[in-house]
Amino acid sequence: MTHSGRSKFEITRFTNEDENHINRKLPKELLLRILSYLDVVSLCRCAQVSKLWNILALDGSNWQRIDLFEFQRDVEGPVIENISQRCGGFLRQLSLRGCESIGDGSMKTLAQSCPNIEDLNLNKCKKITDQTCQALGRRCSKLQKINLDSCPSVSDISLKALADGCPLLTHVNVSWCQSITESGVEALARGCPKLKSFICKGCKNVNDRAVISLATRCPDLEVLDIQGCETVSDEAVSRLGGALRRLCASGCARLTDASLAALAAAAPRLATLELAQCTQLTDAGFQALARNCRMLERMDLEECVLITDATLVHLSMGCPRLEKLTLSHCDLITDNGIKQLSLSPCAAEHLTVLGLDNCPLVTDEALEHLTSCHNLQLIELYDCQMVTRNAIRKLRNHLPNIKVHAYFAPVTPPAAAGGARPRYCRCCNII
Amino acid sequence: MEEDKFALVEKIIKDIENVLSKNAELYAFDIVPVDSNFRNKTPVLHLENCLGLESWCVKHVYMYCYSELMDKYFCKTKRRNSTLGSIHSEKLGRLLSVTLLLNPELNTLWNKRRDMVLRNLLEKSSELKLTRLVLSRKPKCNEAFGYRRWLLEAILQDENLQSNYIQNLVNEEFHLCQIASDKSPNNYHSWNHRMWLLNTLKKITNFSLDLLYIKEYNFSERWTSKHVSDFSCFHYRQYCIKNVILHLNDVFWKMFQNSIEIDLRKCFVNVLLKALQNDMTLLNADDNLMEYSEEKLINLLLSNTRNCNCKHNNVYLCRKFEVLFRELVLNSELIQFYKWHESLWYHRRYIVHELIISMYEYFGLKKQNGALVKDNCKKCNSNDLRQKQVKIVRYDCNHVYSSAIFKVLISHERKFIAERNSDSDKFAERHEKYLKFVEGLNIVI
Repeated sequence: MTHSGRSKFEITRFTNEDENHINRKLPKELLLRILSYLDVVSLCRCAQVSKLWNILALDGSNWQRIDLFEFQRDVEGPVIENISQRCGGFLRQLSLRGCESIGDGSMKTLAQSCPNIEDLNLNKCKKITDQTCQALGRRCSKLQKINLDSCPSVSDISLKALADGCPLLTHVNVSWCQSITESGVEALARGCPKLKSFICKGCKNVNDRAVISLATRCPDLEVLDIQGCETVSDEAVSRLGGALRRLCASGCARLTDASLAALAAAAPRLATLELAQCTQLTDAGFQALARNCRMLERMDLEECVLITDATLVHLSMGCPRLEKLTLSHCDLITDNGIKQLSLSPCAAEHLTVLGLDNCPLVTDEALEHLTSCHNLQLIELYDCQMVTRNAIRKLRNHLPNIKVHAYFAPVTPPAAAGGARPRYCRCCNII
Repeated sequence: MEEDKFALVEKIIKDIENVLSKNAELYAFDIVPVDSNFRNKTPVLHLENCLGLESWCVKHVYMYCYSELMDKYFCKTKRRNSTLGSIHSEKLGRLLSVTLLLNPELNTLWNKRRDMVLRNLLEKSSELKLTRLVLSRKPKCNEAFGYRRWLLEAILQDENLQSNYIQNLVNEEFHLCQIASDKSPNNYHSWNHRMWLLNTLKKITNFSLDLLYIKEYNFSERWTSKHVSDFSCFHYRQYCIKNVILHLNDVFWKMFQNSIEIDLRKCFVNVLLKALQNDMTLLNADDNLMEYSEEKLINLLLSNTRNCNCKHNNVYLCRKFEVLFRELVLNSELIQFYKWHESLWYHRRYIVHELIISMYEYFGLKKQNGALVKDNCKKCNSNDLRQKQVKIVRYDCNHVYSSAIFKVLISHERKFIAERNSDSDKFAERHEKYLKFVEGLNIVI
């Protein structure tokens, strides 16, 4: 993977005539090496210095990792075609996040000329369709990570093409591609056994069978995000395996305590668990979970309306690493639960973010208990109507760096703060 | 502390946005005066399709939104403007809508929204909803009306629109204007908007306005009789009358007569008879003016001596007189009932002016720099007329002044002025002066 014959010739031609000091002192290889440390903008500037530098700066070896997010409005088809021709086999990582004018045509050129690409981010490239993924599947067998977040025209055909052509895939994100169904996910699970992360937020057609096939065929699965896949039930979640570290099942309202019990048994390394709007979960499930999943760090339990202080007791006993806990809209949580939480081992060291907004039973007392959480950085108290301004002030006195989010008007500094205004007039003062 | 404040404001903005996006039926927004909040409660109130914001947070929210907008989205750097992708645009849209709800008199921000609509980052229909909210709080906000006009123009440009859809759009618009006019008296902007809409609809080929003209005529009649001091709506009434007068063909006339309760001819004849009762030479005793054809009535009222031989549309003229005299009677009733309202008298001036002008027109005269001169007949355009034009035409004036209808009008006005004068209405005297010196009738009155 060296320069093409033509550019080699050009380099020799320009170096002979070139009078510039730097070009005479430094060999091309070193110049190239220096340039390889620069970012996109600097490279483009360097490319305008001289003809020699233009060739050097635009050499494919400098363009292994490209992020065009900053230029999303400007990036259009020809840009991609240009890049793919320049970079060729060098390109490993490309992010086109938000480049909405990119279409299938330019992506096909890319797939053709850059077979070594490993990481491709097409988040919000709304124009691309299955044809892009088919081209990728045909050419880019080394692809490991692909992000198709918010590409609405992507369907099962894409997943099948990727499954056939890219066996090394580890990270796949197809969030908000609403036409994805179980058959696509099954094909992916069959073709890519190394899958570590699968994210499909808002894909309503992803169901139990899809999740089961992922669970059985991809033993390395660490991250699974099925937020908003409403039909997923206990049956699927209970099959998930031991490697799982992060599970987001927010909005899967069918899940019950059985899921939690199964997770407790099968996924001891679980660190992040998001279960917002899973309204059927109760204290019993969390008791089982807390007994086994001792590595839990982040939990989102928004609108798990059935849980009570008992859950907090279990969590505080069983999860010493808990950093972030969201209990928004958990109506039954009281001061007592917060007290238990504040007495736990996690509270003193790890707990940094606590969401208590819309917990109507939480009062000033809870804030008093929380003064012992030294690491607490953010607490959300929106709409906790029993919490007063005074209690917040006290909490701030104990934890000076804490951010408190509540519906209290920011205190305007009293008028006297800027130094009491002299009663006599200025000129008298001067005299 | 500062960060907490931003978080609070961000949260409030999010709350507002939530309500805006979830409730499509929202129709009113206002700021609820709450001096200080003792309780940790959201300041965003959402009740029965109304949105409220407690006043204590307005200052903070507005300051934050405004400075955020000005610092991040209105600075001159080229790159920022060109990289406004959909990721930024959501936040920008949010900030703009909140800022505009709080202070809609910022054309810069409305222009930014226009920009975003052009780039398909905002939906036109949701924009109409936003302006409706803004107008529910500030019914006199010209910027919001202007933005609405811009949006409607863009929507109406589509030639494939169903007339059903246009009808809905128009009804919605009229409803909005009505609410705005109701909320704030003398709302020039809302009446102007109404007028603009009718004028714009005239350009659309596949949409018939006749029914709308009649509807608006009747609507403005109801409205003016309830809001006698609101000259903006009288202005609109005049616009409606003009629209009706311009469309007096047979079909329209039939529809028009059916839609109003009063018999126009009867009203006209009543005025004539009342004024002519001591001068019965004109009428044969057994003649019934009610049954006269329009042609005949005009011949009777305006003696048929004209300069050129072109056929004048007497039917049209008669109908016009009927409409205007009806308005005159209506106006008299209103003045008698609601005393001392200047705008009523101003409206009367308009009616009398229109009547006199149409009489002049019939006799081929027009007013120029306060003096009557001969007008070219639009149809025949004969040359000898042009030569005579220099001379003042006392002869023709006499034609006008001696015509029956003119006498009726003058005696009616004279009687009315005398009556109002006896009721010590100072505007009556001014009306007389107007007739004498502005309309130049001091020889006759």
